[in-house]
Amino acid sequence: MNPLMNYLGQLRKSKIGLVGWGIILTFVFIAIFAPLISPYNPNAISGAYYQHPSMLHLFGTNQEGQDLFSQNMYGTRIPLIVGTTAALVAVVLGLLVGLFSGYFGGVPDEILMRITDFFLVVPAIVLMIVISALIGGTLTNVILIIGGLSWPMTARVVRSMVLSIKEWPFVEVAKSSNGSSLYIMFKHILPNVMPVVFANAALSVANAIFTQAALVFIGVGDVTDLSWGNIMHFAYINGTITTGIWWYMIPPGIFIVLLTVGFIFLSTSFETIFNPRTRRI
Amino acid sequence: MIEASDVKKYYPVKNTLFSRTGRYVKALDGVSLSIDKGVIHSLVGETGSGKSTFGRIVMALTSPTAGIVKIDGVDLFSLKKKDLKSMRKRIQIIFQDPYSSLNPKLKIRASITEPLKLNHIEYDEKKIAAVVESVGLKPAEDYLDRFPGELSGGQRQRTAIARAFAISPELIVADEPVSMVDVSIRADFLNLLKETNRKENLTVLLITHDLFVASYISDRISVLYLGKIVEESDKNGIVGHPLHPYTQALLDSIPVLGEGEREVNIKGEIPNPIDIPPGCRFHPRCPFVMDKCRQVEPEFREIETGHFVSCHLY
Amino acid sequence: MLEIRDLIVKYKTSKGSVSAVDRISLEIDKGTIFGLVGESGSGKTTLGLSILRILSPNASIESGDILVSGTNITKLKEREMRNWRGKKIAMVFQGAMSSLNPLMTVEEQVAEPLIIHENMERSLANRKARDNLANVGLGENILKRYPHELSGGMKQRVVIAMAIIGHPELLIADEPTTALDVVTQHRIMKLFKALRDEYGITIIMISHDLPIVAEVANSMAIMYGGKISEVGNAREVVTKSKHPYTQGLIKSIPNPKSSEVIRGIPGEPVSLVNPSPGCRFYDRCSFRRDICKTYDYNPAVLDGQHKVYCNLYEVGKQ
Repeated sequence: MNPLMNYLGQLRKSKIGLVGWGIILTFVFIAIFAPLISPYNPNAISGAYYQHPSMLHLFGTNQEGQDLFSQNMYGTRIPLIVGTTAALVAVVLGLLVGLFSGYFGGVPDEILMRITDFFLVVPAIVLMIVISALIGGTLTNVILIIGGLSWPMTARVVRSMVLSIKEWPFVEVAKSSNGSSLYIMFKHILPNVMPVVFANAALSVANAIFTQAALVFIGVGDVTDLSWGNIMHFAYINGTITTGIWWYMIPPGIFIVLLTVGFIFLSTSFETIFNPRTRRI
Repeated sequence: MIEASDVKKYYPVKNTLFSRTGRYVKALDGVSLSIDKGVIHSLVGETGSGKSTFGRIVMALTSPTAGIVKIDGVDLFSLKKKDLKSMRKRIQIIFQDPYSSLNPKLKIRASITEPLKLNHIEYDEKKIAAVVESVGLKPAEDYLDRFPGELSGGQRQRTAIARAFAISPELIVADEPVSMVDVSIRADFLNLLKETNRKENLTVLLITHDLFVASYISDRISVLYLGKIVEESDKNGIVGHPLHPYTQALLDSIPVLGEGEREVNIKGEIPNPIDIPPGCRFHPRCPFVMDKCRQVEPEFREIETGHFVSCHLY
Repeated sequence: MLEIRDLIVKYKTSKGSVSAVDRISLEIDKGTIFGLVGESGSGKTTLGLSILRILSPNASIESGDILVSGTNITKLKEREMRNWRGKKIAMVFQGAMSSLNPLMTVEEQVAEPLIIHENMERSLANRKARDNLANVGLGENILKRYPHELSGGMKQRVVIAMAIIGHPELLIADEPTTALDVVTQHRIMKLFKALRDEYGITIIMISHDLPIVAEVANSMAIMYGGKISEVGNAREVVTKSKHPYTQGLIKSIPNPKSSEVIRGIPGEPVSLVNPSPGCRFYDRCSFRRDICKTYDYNPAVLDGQHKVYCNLYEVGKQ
């Protein structure tokens, strides 16, 4: 019944979870061993420009003659780093806000609800563009911006769970045994929302990876940092879509989608394994 | 031990998100009850009678709209936080549903030691084992490190009871403690309550819909109807010669093993506690209704020694 | 009407195979109420579900026959079985009253299946719904109400009306009185009696509540650990109970008219994962003998219909 062992035990039966983990671990492996996998220095000119994919250049070359395969391998790192750290920021913030506003209700709760409504109406990406234009799109800033603006989703989910869990008799029992609000929140309610938080965290990673790519693609942030979004950005501004240089844009696009799908699958596996209601006996 | 006078609990009825209708759900509509120390007192009523609300008020889990609840002469709702804390050391609650009254993420050991830890009461492994074994979970070490999900319904309810007994409370509020456990295990719980009551002078407020269960262990029984007590007596008075037509109907509704069919003299269903009938609140369902019942609310009067009823028949 | 012969139903779980119904044989007469009494995990619900053949995917009928009006339904194809469900055999599920669609009125709730599955015209379906609701004692005034506006007893009646709308010959009701107040329980029991007496429906009532079943049923079976421990005329089973488990159950029920101390049955319900070959009740029985540990008993017929599955009587007879 140890949650980790339970998850690992159930995972064997969850095809979707195994596929998700397979995708994610493959990209993690690529990110770590990028220098070993890449045949060329991604920033060095290693051939003629706009070479078709060949045995020499698996994904062809770009307008400078840099090896696109090597660029894509190195480009795995930033999406993974930004995705996980920004999601961590978002989930911790969302969890805390959701716990407090759900448990105490009242004014803090009202404020949270209005903020969430705001994010439902104004797409977060627009805000992110504005803010990163103002404060500059360094890696840390992008992480903080994505994390700092993505928490309402988690907060809302956690809040709604807290609203129902706090009515459970075991919470009343703890109250009548002199359990303080903080004690009840962290000892009784938190463990029961964690499965959903895990599922949400995996989704947040997917969301952050996509958002980071989108930001870089439209030119916000540091375009010198190598990432899939960055490769697509240069593919776009060099007009490769209309000139038939398909090998520039397609691989990073596929990678972004694949990694995002990997985390979505992971989220689904968390949900089905930790939530007994959706689990088949 | 407990003295409740004219306790009311009204919940406003919300019509839409913002406007209130000005109407109230009258869960408790003036309940006065006093329970002496060392007495097992049952509060019996149907769903919607307000019996669980009363239990939650005695536990200070919700505050009454009006009225006073005193425990050992001290007003429960004017206590300072510190005093409420020491008061709560003496009271424990047992809920009906053993599936939701234990945190599924806590091991049995953590659930049972929780009231001890929170109330800074010292304990050792031997004491925990003794508490767990006293409710029939033997040997204790087979259960302490398991999660509620690994136990049967009966074992969970035993755990909930062990937790309540762990701090040796003076008062236990038991809200339908046996209605969800198998009959073969139910008797043990009732006997355990009775035994602790006799040995340690434990006071029990038992909340139940089952008059037979109530009569088995209680010294006194109050029958609650739509937020008000309609009859109260010692158990022989209630079971032996019930006065109120409602008590009579409740008794007749329960089949006795091996006996034949019964007629139950009651009409309709319990009304919504928003629209409490005028006069006697039971009159729309009463087989003996008189004109007076529709207009005048009967007083709660002592008809025989210690036997109170609010009914115009007497 | 219904005959079950040597039925075995097993569940496959991660802990192993669970024999939820273990070689059960039963006979139920037409137009009677048959009570199936047992505690949680006794297999009573599984037995009910097998008669409709709607077991969960990890459960299956391993062997045995279920004969309904002479037809062995275990041999029917799934397509044929669909014509039986709802029409010849219907079920009121445990807790069904809390799964009514909150957005549909009572009338729509009852009429909808007729419109969808039987292609009935709405006006005709509504009329049928009204008639059926009247049969279970619900008047026109509740037709336009939504489930949250109904009491528990009314909801249970709606669910029963939905179950009998196809004029089933056999109605299986799983815990139909659980979570209802005593006054309402009594009324639902009266309704079942009326359904039996006026429409000749055969009813299997599955319940943990021995006194309620004993009052309403013509005959009944006590189940423990996937097996029947005692079966017979309902009154005889409770007044002349023979099986130590039945006796234990009776002793654990409070009766306000006697001052007798009630006593629980020591121990916990038996686990059905790979059970031992002997009597299921062995661990909790105070009359157990060595033979009970290994010997899988046969029923001892007492008088007429009253049978007890216990070695105390089997051994005594020989």
